[in-house]
Amino acid sequence: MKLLDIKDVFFTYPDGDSVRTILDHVNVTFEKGHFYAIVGSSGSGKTTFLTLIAGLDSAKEGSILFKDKDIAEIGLWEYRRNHVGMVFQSYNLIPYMTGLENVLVAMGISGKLHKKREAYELLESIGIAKSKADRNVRRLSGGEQQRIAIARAMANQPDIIVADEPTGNLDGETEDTIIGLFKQLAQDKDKCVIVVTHSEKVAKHADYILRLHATKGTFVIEDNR
Amino acid sequence: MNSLKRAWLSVIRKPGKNFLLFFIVTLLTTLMAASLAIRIASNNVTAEMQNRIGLQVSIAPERTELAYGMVGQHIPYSELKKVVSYKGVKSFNYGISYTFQMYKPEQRHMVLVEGTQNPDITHYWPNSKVIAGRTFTEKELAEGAYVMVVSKQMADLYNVEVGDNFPLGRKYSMYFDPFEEWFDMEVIGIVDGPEVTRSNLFEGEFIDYMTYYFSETQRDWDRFPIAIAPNIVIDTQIINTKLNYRLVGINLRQNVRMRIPILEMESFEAVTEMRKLYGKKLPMPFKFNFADDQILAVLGPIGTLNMIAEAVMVFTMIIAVFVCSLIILLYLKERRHEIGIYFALGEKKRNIVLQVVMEVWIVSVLAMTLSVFAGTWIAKGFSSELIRLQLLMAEVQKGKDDIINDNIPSKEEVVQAYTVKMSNEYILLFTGLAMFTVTASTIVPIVNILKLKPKEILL
Ligand SMILES: Nc1ncnc2c1ncn2[C@@H]1O[C@H](COP(=O)(O)OP(=O)(O)OP(=O)(O)O)[C@@H](O)[C@H]1O
Ligand SMILES: [Mg+2]
Repeated sequence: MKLLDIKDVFFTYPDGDSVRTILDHVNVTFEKGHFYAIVGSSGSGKTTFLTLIAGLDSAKEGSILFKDKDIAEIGLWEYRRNHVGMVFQSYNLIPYMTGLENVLVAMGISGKLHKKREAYELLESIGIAKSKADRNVRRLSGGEQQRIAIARAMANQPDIIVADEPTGNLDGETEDTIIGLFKQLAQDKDKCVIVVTHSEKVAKHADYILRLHATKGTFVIEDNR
Repeated sequence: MNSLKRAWLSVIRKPGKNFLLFFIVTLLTTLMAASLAIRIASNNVTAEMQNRIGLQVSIAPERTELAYGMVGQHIPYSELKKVVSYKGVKSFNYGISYTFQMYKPEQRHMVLVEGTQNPDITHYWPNSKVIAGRTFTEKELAEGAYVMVVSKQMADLYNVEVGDNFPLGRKYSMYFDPFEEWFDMEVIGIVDGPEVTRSNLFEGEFIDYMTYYFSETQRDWDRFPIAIAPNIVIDTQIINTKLNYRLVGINLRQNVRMRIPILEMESFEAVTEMRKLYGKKLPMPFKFNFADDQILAVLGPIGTLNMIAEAVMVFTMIIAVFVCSLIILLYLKERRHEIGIYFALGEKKRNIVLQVVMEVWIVSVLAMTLSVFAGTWIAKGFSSELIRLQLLMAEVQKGKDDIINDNIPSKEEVVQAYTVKMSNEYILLFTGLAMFTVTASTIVPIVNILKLKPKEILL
């Protein structure tokens, strides 16, 4: 099922006196239940593309349709609050809170879930036991922190989960488990998972690989199944 | 977890980070509390002193004129009328007393009749009440009608009832050219007035004169009949004018008793206004004696302290807004990531604002609890010493010519009346002002964080 429809998206950054085109009329669609990897050379515009999908910025031209509705129309704040979950390379957890509280914060904002029990269950499903959930996040390993970040991204029960180099700070073994989680979210939970990565290993697990061409500003899509 | 819970967690989990704000808010609000406490205390003492003195303005000739035998001279009624028509005058008492001879064919007695301009008898005779008939109407007062209200003493003595006509005559036994005048007064009311006795009615040289006349009347000294009437005010002006004309160079002291018109004012603002409007407009040799003349000297130092306190408070509030804004700004700068996360999660802006304001409030309320006590303590120690010192230096002059002077508080009384205490008014005002200040301090930092772009912070 078509979930996200990227239509003719054009994006530039100011570059001195001129502008630099990053995305040149990109057309892609994303579906539920699939795991997408976005790859490309450094500075090609992967993160930029992800922020557009995540509703953190808006395109100069073109539109992004979520379930056939322009996200600008839905409202970017509303769209982020209810439909997208986001995972970052540097976790971005609130440092003075426990893992549980980080999840509860996100639940409180979207308002779909709010019970402590639901937060524990969510963490449990992502592999964080209660004892670790109650620990201040600064006293957790990178992998554990990233799991909590994933749980937080799930707290508003989104259809889309986007991640920008989620395994960039993790060792190989941990990377595997995190990739496993993303795969699981796509396959078992029917989420649309979009991950920006430099890691060929991550890309190898994806259903589709989107290669961003730095100079052309468009994607080449590979079916990896 | 809502924004309030987040605010709470943020404060209790990072007490160290909040300490600077707590410390600065405590310091500055203590200054605010102290100056506020001083202000309230000085306002209270001023109000109390003003209250004690009453809102009175009197009109009297200069003392030097009195010495030259002008005792009998009152301010012309026409002049007085201009003054009392001012809206700040609540009531006035133009209580000139004259002795009239009462005429009944078989008797000649003395009656003391006093003029009034107030229909409220209790204004003249405290605690009295009309037991028969009525008091004056405004019209009678304005026209100076030939009506009077008599004391029960007098009614009993002469067997008068309401509605009776009561002839009053005035006769001056001068060295030459005797002068005589009669009025037919209608008794309109009888008042259960105070027992008028020699001791509370007459004093000074006047007694000599009364003694002289009383020898004729065979009446009991201690139960002197008394009445009040509006017309006397006007009529005596005529008499006086004639007398003055006739008796140049003759000492009138023994003939007429002088009373000083006393105006009750609505408020102290009215007194000040009156001073501005009419202060220099009275005909010679009359002058006003303002109640606030008398207390200004005593309350002057308190006024100065009050001004200093106000300046300190305003200054502190301005400084506080600057300093607190800066601290909050720095504090939020450190939390850019956290705020970026809320943005990315789609938190409503108003909830983020609420969280920041709540955090500042929680810290401030703790700080203010401390400073409300500290402020009172400082204000107590600081101000009572200062007032004592200032009062010692101030030259407090008691007025010279005036009955009002009796009420003037001494320095000691002022110092005693000056008390800094934790009143509800103080706590409420302080809380309001301090909360206003800290809340104002969040404006710039909040505007600043709302401009943040999560994309630039988080990715
Ligand atoms: N705010 C900005 N203003 C101007 N140029 C920007 C801005 N943000 C990014 N760029 C530039 O746009 C290009 C694309 O940036 P982007 O972060 O999307 O790349 P990326 O593909 O994610 O790279 P990396 O793999 O290194 O993370 C880069 O050359 C970057 O320098
Ligand atoms: Mg990037």
